[in-house]
Amino acid sequence: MKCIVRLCRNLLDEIHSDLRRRHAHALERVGFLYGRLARAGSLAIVVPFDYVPVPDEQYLLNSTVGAMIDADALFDAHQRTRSTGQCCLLVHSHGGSGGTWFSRTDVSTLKRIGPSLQRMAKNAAHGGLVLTSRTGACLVWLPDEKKPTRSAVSIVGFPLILDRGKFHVA
Amino acid sequence: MAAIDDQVGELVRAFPGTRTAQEGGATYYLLPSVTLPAHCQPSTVDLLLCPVQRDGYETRLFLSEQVQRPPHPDEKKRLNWNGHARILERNWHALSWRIPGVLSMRLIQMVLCHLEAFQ
Amino acid sequence: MLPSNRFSRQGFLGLAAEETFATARIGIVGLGGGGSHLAQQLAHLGFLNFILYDGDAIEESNLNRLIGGTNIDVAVATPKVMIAERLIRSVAAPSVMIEQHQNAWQDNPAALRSCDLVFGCVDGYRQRWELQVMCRRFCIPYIDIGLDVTNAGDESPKMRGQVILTVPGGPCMRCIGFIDDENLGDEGRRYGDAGIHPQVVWANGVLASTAVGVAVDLLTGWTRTVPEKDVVYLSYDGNTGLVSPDKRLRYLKSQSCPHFRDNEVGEPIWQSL
Repeated sequence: MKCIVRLCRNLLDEIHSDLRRRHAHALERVGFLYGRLARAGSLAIVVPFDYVPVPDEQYLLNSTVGAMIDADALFDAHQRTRSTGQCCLLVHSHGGSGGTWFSRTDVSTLKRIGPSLQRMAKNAAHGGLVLTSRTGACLVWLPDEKKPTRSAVSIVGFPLILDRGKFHVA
Repeated sequence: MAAIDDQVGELVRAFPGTRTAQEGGATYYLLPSVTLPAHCQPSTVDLLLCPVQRDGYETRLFLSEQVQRPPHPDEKKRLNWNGHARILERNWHALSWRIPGVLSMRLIQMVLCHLEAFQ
Repeated sequence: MLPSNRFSRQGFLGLAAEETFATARIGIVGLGGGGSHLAQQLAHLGFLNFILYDGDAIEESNLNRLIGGTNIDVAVATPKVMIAERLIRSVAAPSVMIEQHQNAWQDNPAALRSCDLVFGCVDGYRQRWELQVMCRRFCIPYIDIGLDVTNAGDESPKMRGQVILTVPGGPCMRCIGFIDDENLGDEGRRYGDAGIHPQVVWANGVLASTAVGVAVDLLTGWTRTVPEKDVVYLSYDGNTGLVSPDKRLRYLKSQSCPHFRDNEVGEPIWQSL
């Protein structure tokens, strides 16, 4: 295991509350999760601590995908990352309760956003987190790495969910 | 008592590179690479000031290393290390050293009074 | 996944339990009277990934309670972490991974940061608080156990202990009143000496077993209950044998913790002045 994201359950609840809200035209919502990177030997530990929803007005009208956010939303995320040096993960939910993984569209989006955020804060980890009601999956770009890493995800609270990222990816 | 900003400014001027961080509800001031009297070994250490009550002391000054120096002729002034603590992801060491009236002192006075232990 | 034959009797913990236990990385700080019980029980349950810290070797006075310790160990001064490793390996599957540190965790903190769950079986409030702080910083649930026996004049000795589970985002040991400036101060004034506390095997066993039960519920959710106020604080009355929620929980006003800011995670952020 190279990387783990440890997400507090009460922060997860806050994220779910936001992502569940209906939007006027987008089928799903997204947000940005900010945190800090620490090391435990060769293990990278990402601890998110702040969730920022994408405001309603920053969603673009697009029927081909669940949600598309505008340049302002991306700019805000990049600005915060640059000024704070924090980790930044794009978050959305696939619903359901079991394991999950990113769709092809998700991966394509992350392949643009991850390296772009890396240029803002090179000593942090950036990428995406996709959630179900119970757990999540994470893809991160670690400092100095061009290729993303599949990260384990822990939901820390009652109960403690340890997902080592073994969910089969088709 | 002078505003805290004045006191912090004073501290920074006396100890360039001073930084601050919080942990567990307390604020700490890191004074990097401070030179101690020549008879101390090592002679350069980082200092961490906790200007509020901690471990039964009204204020505490932690050092990045347990400093040695020749024994003081006055037994009461011998170095008595009793504060080994992990704070802000580093290990620190502090002397048993009480300072009368410390709570009415400015931050820089606190630091200097703590450092008298190494004279 | 059906439980293997070895764990067929604990199937009620859920289909995922065996894999969860095998995967979870467990830190145990202190492998004395309490920690040795914990190591043994966790190994029996099927935990396969241990990080152990204890800088001491066994002495004769430990033999009344250190699980796995022998007369030979005392004669050769076997380190406590080695006794714990031997104990775990005697029960666990061959794939068990044990990393032992014959020093204080503060001298080698990286491995402890990598744990999914940390047990503290240490002496003194300062030691406990430092573990609490570390676990908050790296978002790790922390289970603390401890025992003390006090003499009160002509009355019988009073045996008291605790099992506390705190999780990031919830109340910490200061919130529940177990640690405060007064007890940290008293200890500091005694030159940081936590003292030599009376210890007996049966009481340590009660506390360790209770702690393991708390950990298993945290990892499996088998009781399908969530602790009230997001914290577990169980008090053990060794005189009556009763383990029950500590009365201090009644006075806990909030489930959020004012002692740790949300952004005090990971490596400390130093602000220039």
